[in-house]
Amino acid sequence: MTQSRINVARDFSKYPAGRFTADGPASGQAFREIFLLPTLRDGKSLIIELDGTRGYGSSFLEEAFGGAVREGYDPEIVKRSFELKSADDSLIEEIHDYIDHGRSPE
Amino acid sequence: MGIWPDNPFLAQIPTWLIVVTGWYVVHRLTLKRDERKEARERVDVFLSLLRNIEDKAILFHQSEVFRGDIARALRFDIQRAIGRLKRHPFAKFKIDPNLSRELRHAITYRNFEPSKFVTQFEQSSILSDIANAVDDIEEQMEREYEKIYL
Repeated sequence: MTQSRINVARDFSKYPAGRFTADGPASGQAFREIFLLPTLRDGKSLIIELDGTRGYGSSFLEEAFGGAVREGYDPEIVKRSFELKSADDSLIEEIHDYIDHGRSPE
Repeated sequence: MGIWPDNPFLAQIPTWLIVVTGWYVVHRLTLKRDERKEARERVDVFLSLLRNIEDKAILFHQSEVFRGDIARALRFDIQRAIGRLKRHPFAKFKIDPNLSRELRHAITYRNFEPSKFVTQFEQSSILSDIANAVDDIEEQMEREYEKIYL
């Protein structure tokens, strides 16, 4: 079975930005609702290619991935469900950190 | 007959060895100096990019209203700076990936969305965190440069 794959720049926005939908259409909340929650609800997995955008804000990343934990999913399940791909290791580590601390963000 | 035969070509061998060795040593030193000079130039360019990010971040967080144009430029500049750390000569430097993460986090985690933007004043912890994140990278880069080239 082939694993589903998305590229953030191609399938969501080249300019992902903001935390909530009130901040714009390419917010972390929108990304979570469009891609992350359906994957988690269906118990599937998803490869997420992060490269290709014009950069990420930490608030976007936290709201998207940390927010998935606040929706009630276990951090380990969230980490296992999404295979993150990026040339920037710090980006992947940062997202994992937000998942680990999703229940009690800074 | 002494140690060296009468053949003048053979008699010149020690002289040639000294000349070639001397040339090689000078050549190596020149290469090393050029490499050090080039690395210094790249470090300076990187540090200037980093300071530019810091200035932009302060301007953004101290603006009276949310500036989407600066926020966008910051996201891109941070990504570009982190990308540069993977290229020559920085691939040789041991720069802790946590420092890249801290830089992005310090600038874009808090107060980075229009719905909750608040003008920051000089004593703001956001501005201190930004200065610390920039200083940490700068310090580690200078340390690595000294370790490798001086």
